[in-house]
Formats: sequence, structure tokens, C-alpha cells
Amino acid sequence: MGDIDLSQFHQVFFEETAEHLATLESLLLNFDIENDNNDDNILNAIFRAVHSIKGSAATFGFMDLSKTAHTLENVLDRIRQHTLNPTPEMINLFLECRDVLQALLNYYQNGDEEVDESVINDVCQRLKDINENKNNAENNAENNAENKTTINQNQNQNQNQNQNNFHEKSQKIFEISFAPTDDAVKNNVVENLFADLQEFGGILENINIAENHSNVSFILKTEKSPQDFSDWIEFIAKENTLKINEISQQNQNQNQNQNQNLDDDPDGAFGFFTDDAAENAENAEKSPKNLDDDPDGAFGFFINYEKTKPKKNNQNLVENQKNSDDDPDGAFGFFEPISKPKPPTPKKIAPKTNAQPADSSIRVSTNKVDQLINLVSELVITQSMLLQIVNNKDEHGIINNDDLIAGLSQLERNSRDLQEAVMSIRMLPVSFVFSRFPRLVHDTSSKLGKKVELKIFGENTEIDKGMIEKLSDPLTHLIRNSLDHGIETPAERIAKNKPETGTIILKASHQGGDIMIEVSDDGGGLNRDKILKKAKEKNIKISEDASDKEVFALICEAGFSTAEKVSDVSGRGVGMDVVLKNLQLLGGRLDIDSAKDKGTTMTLFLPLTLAILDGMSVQIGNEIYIVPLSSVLESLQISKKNIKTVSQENILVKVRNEYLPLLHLSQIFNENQNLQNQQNQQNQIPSLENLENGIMVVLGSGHKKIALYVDALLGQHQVVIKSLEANYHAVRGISGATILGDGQVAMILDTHALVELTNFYENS
Amino acid sequence: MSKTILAVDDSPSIRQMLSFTLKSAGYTVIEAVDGQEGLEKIKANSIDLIITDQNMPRMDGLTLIKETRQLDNYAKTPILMLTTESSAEMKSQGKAAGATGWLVKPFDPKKLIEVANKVLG
Repeated sequence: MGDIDLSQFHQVFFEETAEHLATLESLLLNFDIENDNNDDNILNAIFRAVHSIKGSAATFGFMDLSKTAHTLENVLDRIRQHTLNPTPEMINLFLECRDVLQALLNYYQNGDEEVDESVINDVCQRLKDINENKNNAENNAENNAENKTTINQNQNQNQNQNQNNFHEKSQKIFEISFAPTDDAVKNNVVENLFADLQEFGGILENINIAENHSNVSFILKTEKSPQDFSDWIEFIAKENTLKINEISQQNQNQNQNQNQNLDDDPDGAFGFFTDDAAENAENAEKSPKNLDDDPDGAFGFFINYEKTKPKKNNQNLVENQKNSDDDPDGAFGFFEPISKPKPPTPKKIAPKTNAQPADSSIRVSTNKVDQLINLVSELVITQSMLLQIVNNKDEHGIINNDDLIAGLSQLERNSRDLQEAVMSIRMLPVSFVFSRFPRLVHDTSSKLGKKVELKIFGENTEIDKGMIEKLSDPLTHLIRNSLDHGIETPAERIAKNKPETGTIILKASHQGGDIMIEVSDDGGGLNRDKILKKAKEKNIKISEDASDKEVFALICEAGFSTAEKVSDVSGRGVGMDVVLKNLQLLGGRLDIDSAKDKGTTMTLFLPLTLAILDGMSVQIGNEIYIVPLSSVLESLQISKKNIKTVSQENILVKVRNEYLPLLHLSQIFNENQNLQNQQNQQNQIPSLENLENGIMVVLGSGHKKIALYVDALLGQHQVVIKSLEANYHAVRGISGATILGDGQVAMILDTHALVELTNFYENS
Repeated sequence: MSKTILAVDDSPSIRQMLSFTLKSAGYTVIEAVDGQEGLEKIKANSIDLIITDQNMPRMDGLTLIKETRQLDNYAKTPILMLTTESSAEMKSQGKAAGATGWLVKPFDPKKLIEVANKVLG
């Protein structure tokens, strides 16, 4: 039997740990300290995330990850058991520890910068401090609980050494001696140490304190390893006087009890539960079983396992051999004859330089996988249908051509659907970027002494994976700007009659043909005069009566910063131009809106080259169009009296006491009337009578609305957007095309452009 | 026919490792992500050995062990607890719940096979 290469599980472990870390972060950020109404489920979930990291990390040999998680877990365990009340400082420390774990993970997974050991030790030490302070503080509930445990342990120890092998076996025994410092003697700290060690779950024996306090020695039985408690002793010991010797477990066991159940692991890493009553009677029988035991002791049984028959090691060997021979899955060729145990996986695994972990896997929602499976099964059905058509010859041996063509076109549709579904796997919810911002806001606002709440909307909006990665930096800049320059200090806000806590809203949505990401704050807003003054200093030419938008656009000029002093959060004057450049590289644009003391809204518009769109299909003339569902406000039929004709081209409709410009697509798409006269007849603006029969779809883009005339509403679909530019050329008012279920091509309307085009007609 | 082992752990990596290791030793392995799913699979299949983690969402390992012992066919089926700490407290709870033995995380895959062979041998 050989070693199993654990590294094959590392990728899963990395993903799982990353997920736990993300969960941990969001749970910690949402932790409601002030009201202390965090229910136990949340506390348990926090604990479990860390606990799982610890367990898995240890299993796969990432010991520093495991140890750090373990230290954090100890503190979280107390919070979970309500013996420690969390403070905001603690939460920050937990977050800091989470970051260390993340850095360790990045190191192992991506070969990022190695984490300095002092950083790990520092965070662990501060976590231990929390734990120890708690130890010193009086807490009745906890003390009671601890006392009970100690008593239990003592009883077990005194009463039946041979029965509690599952206690003893897990414990190591240390012979400890040291010379306490003079201060320690003076302040009776040695007694405290004993109390601490006991509270730590240790059992003390043979305590021997020299008369003049020059030396202290005792025997400590504990499950903990020396690292866990040596610090405490070192703290009160004179330099180089601390000696910790581990007493061989086996000797100790034999000394203590000849009848010890040798079935169990000497290190306590495993054990079998023994039936108390039967114990003594069975002791004699047990002895032959010794050879059966795990020499390293990583497991154990609670009862004298009935089936276990006396076996010799070589019998085991034979049996193991047989097992691997019996393996029906012969593909697993990992087993070799028993060899010496391989040393545990090295503490630090050298990062694989040739690996490209970032691309190695992608998380796909089960829905999408289900969709794929669905499409594949349709493909299989079509294939068998085609086979049947081919076999189904008539008496002259001729295949029915029409059937065959129908079958083939179905095949074509199937494979196209499948292709699109596969493409859509690249789409990820924007929450992948958004998820990091609660932390950013939390950390930065406390650094700036501001109170800020971040509200996130539309985090399920899907955007292309490639875009997600490139969005992170621009959004980080915008949010930092809002935090630093936008939101005022609590005092300033109160003076302005605003709520003390500022709000930053992060919102994603499909807007017309774009993905719109909005970062808005309710802070001080942009200062027009200041920007103009700065522009003059920088020799940027702009007329004094330029519109607000033109003035605000100046902040995207390179090197433009109106911040009075450069802070470490933002304001080096490299922010906004980088944001704009990054955005333009993605084919996007930026819209800035601001009002003094009301706040600033930065809106990013991104093309959705690959996005799936929730669309409403409508019929206009002979054509089917897709209207992005997100921009449909309402659809209604309208009576003649609510239709006002301003000019031949300009018609207004009154909807809920509001006059909206009416748009018929012929107004913008049929400019060349001679080309397709036939179709134009159908697509011309219907008469008033017909308008009454049609349906008005009210579309909104920003604060502007238009009423789109359609002949019929057909249904609602999720459509995959095909680029029109790539296959034809860009058409204003159309953001792309899609292929409908029956193979027809339908144009997707760009609401934003339609609204602008309508206004253009209105004005002209 | 090879014996069937149920591996219950909420951690995908540990589950994968348990499953892979035990399969390579010739066992049939069924996986469950938590106690609740584990119990469903215990009822739906004939399991020869149950290996379960303790701390899991929805249903923890101890509850799973207790529930399993209530089932007609599972009074004697060996159940191993995976624990990260070998604390006396946890072990006495495991014993009380009806576990057969324990295995401390981290464990060596070889040791896992050894234990499985021992219990099922």
C-alpha cells in the first residue's frame, strides 16, 4: 500500500477555502455587535467556516493555514458559546486574521508573495491575548463549565485508568521544570500558571516547588502540544531554564496500567470505545489483539469491536493486498506493498510556477449545467430522429427530403443553442466584484472616522467573466473617492442636517443595451467652482458657462485632483483618468451627475457583448424585436383622445397625466424609403384608428420615457445577445441581435439610444 | 461484492479525499454533504461503514450517529467519527451517541484504509 498523492485534492481545497473565507468576511461584516442580536446560526456559521478551513488545511498539510485558523477558531468558539462578548476591535482583528489566511491561500494557490511569519505570529498572538484576557476575567458561567470538565477528567483519571483510554490516549504527558523569575515569585504568578494550564484542559501532577522558589517542576497531561503552552511558562521563567520533556506515552501507559487496551493509538489520534462493563472481563481477550493496532495511533474504536479477530501484521498485509487486487476499478494503481510511512507533507509547498490557477476552474451555477444537459439530450433526440428518417425509405428506396431537411435544421438549432449555452458559462454575476466592497467600505470608513453604509443592488446581474476582472479597479477607485471626498464627516453631516451615517449605493442593472453600474453617494457633491478654478490652474480651457456635465467631466483629466490634501485613501489625482481609461478599454462610458450637498452619482455603462438579456418580444409590422425587460415600465392600450399630434412626425401620448413622445420604429429605421417600398407600407406610422388598436410600451432610460408603438406583445424570453457589429455593422437604436427558438433573427432594441433618437426628432 | 462506505463531510476536499482513498482500497463509496443527506442515504442504501465529520450544517455528526442507531438495520453498523480535536468531551459524546470509533483530522490516507480494513475485515 503506497501513499496517496494528496496534491490532487489541493484545487478543490483551495476553492473550498476561498469560499469559506468569503463567507467569513461577509458574516463578520454583517455582524451586529451593537444590538447583540446575532442569532446562534450566524455564530455557528462563522465558527464552522474557520473550523472547516482548519480541518482541511491540516489534512492537506498546510500547517500554517491550519494553525492560524485554529487560533482564530479558539476565540470564535468562546463567542459562539457566549463566554466572550465580541467588540468592534475583535471583529477587525478577526478580519485581519482572515486576510492573513487569504494571503496564505494566495501564496499556496497562486504563488503570490510569501506571507511573513512575523505577520502570522503577530495576528495569532493578538488572538491569543483576547483569549487569555478572558481567562483572567471572572466569568461565572464559564468557570462553572470549566470546573465541571476538570472534575470529570479527574474522576476518570482516578477511577478507571483502563477504561478512559479514550481520554488518556489523546493526552500527551510532559515533564516540565523551570526556574521562575523573581517577579513571578513575588506576584504569585506561578499559581496563576497552574490555574491557566488547568483551564486549558491540562491535568497537573507531582507539583514540586523548591522551598526558595528557585525551581518548579510538575507533570502535565494535556492534549495540547508544547507550542500551545510553552509561551506561558517562558513568560514567567528565567531565561533558558524551561525544560519540557515528553514522557513516552507507551511507558507511561504501561506504568499506569498493565491492562491498558492496546487497541488504541498511543498518540490518541484514534481509538475504540470500550464497553465499560465488559472491559475487565474482556481484557484478557484483548491482549492478543495488540498487533492489530495502529502503531501511529491515528484512529481508535470505542467498543471492543466484535468482528475484530486477532490478526498478525502480515495477515493484514495479505488482506490489504487482496483488497487492492479485488478492486473492480483497476484504474487505481496507487497501491504498493506497505512501505514506511512517508513524512508528512512539507510545511510549505513550493508554489507551482507553471500553474495558471486563476484560469484553472470556473464556478458554474447548477442551472446552467442543467440547461446544458437539457440541450445535449435534445441533440441526442434529434440525432436519433435523423437516423430514423434515413432508415425510413419508401418503396423506391428514397428518403423523404422534406423530413430530412426539417431534421437537419433542428440539428442546426440544437447545436447553436448548445454553443450559446456553453458561451453563457463565461457569464458571472457581478457580485464577484461587488463582494469585496463591503470590506473596503468598512475598513476605509473607520480609517477616515466616517460612518458609511454600503447598499448593494442587482448583484446578480451577469456580465462577462473577462469584464469582471477589469471592473474591480475602476469601481474601487470610485468607491474610495466617494468615501474620501464624497461622504462628509459625521459632524459635518449633522451640521448640514443630514443623517450622521452616509450612504453609498452600488447598483448594477441591464440598461437598454448596456450594463449599467452606478456608484452614488449622498455626500457633499462635486464643487463646480473649485473644478473650474483648478481647470484654470491646469490651463484647461473651458467656457465659464459650460454645462455641469462638461465641468464634471474635467475631473477625468489626467492629474486633476481638487482634494485639498493628498490622502492615502485617494486623491493623488491619478484616480478618475485611470477609471475612464479602463472603462474605455472595455468599450464603456462614464456619466457623472452631482448636486451640491445632495451627493454624486457616477454611472458606468458597459457593453454587454456576451450578456444574456431578459427580454420582451414584441411584434412591429412583420418583424419581431426584443425589448430589454429592465427598461419596460408598462404596456397599455391607449384611446384616441389621449393621442396628440404635434406635427406629422411628432405624436405625444398622454399616459397617467404625462405626455410621452410616441415612437414608431419606422421613424428611425426606414430612412431609405425607396429601397423597400413594400415593407414601408406596413411599417409606416399607423393612423390614429390603428394606434388605438396597437399597444404602447412605455420605456424608461434614466429619467426620460418614451412610448414605443408595437402591434403585439409576444412573450418574455432570456435571449443571448449576438453582436450586430461583428456580423453586419452597428445600427443606432439596436444593441444586438438574437436568434429566436424558431430560428428567426430578432433585433434587440437599445432603449437608451431610442430615447435619445426620439428626443432628437422631438427637437428637430 | 465490495463493501459500501458512506463518507459524510461538508468539506468537498475532505469528501473527495475520503472517497478517492477508500475507492482505491476497493470499497464502494457513497458521499453525503451533511448529516441530513447522510441519513437519507443511510436509509436508501445498505451501508457497511459510516465515516462522518462532526461539525456540519443542517445536521451534525453526533445527531447523525444517534439517528442512525435508531434505524432497524443499523444497530451494529460501525460508525467512525472524524474529529479535528481529540478532546475527551467530544469522545465521550461520540461514545454516548453510539459511535464505534474516532479518527482524528488530519489523518493519513493509509491510516484511513487501515481502519476501514480493520472494521470491515
